[in-house]
Amino acid sequence: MLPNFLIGQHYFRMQAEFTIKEKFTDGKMALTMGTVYYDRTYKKLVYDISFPEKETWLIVDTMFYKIVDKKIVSKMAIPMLPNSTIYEFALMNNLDNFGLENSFYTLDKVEKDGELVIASWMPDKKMQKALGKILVSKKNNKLFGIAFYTPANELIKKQFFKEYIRSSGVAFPAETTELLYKKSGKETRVTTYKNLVVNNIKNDALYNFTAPGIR
Amino acid sequence: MKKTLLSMIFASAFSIGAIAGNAEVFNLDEQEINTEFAQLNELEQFVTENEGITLSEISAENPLLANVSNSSDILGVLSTLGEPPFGVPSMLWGFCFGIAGVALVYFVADDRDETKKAFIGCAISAGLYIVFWVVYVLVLGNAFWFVG
Repeated sequence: MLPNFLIGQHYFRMQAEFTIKEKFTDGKMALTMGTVYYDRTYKKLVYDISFPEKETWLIVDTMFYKIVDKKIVSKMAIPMLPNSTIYEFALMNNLDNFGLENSFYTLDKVEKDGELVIASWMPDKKMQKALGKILVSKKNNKLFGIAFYTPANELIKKQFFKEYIRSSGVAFPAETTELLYKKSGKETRVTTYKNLVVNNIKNDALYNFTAPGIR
Repeated sequence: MKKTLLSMIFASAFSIGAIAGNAEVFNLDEQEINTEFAQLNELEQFVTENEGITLSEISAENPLLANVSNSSDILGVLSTLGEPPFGVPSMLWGFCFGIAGVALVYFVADDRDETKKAFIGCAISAGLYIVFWVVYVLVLGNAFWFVG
C-alpha cells in the first residue's frame, strides 16, 4: 500500500458543472447552475454561478464570500473548511466513509442488509450529549447514503450519492439527494454534476480565485 | 408542560422509527422527488437551451418561475458537501465559533431561544478562556516566585 504520490496518482484539483435544485419547507423552490472548482493546494472552493444570476461563491478557511463583478457583496463565517468536503474526499479517494475516520466519530458497528453494508458511527463520548450517531451505507463498495441523527435518535437529515462518474481515476457521484427534516417540514435538495475534470493544469486563476479584500 | 409532553411523544415516535431497521432509512422515493422537481427540471432545460440567460432576463410571467426564489439557501447547499451545520446544538455553535456562531444561529434558526443558547455557549467559551489565562498566570507567577 503505497501513498498516492509515490505511485504517481496525486489528485490535486477538480472541476465539474453542477445543478442544484431545492424545495424549501414553505413550498418555494430554487435552481442554481454553474461550475465548481476545488484545488487542494490553494484550499479554495469556488462556485462560478451562471444562474439565477452571474456571481461567484468563494469558500476559503471558514469564510464564505459572495462576489459580483469582482466585488464582495456579502460574507459570513461558516462552520466548514474546503478540505472537509466531498471534493477533498473524492480527490483523496476517501469518499467511502465521508471523511468520518478522521473526525471525532468512531466506528461502532457494521451490518449487512441486502445490497447495503451499513456502518454506524458514534461521536466521541464527550460529544454524545450534543451529537447523535451517523449511519453510512455502501452499495457495491461505494458510498450510497448517510443518515444523521440527534442525540435523542431523531433522524434529521439523509443524503444519497448515486450514478458515479469517473475522470482520471477519481470516482464522483453524479447525483446527490438530500432530505432535511426541519421543525417546519421537509426540505429536499438534488445536486447533479457533469463534465468532471480532474487535475486540469489550465485556468489556474479559476481555482485560485480572488477579489479585492480576500487574501 | 404541554410542550414537554409533546416533545416526548415526538421523540418516542422517532425512536420507534429508528428501531424499525437501519436499512429502511436508506429508502428513497425517486418517483416522489421527480414529481416534486418536475417544474425545476423544465426550468433547467430552458436555461440550458438559452445559454447564459439569467433569472432576471426571464419574463416574470413565465409559468416556469412560479414559486421560484431568486436565491439559493447557501448554508443548505454547503451542508450537502461536508459535515452538517444543522443538527449541531446552538450552544456548541456559540462555544466553538464565538460571536460568529451566535450570529449564524440568529440568522439560520431565526429562534430567540436557540440564539440565547448559542450566546450561553459563547459566554462559557469566553469564561473558560479567561479562567485558563488567570490560572496560567497564577501558576506561572508562583513558579517564578519559587525559582526566585
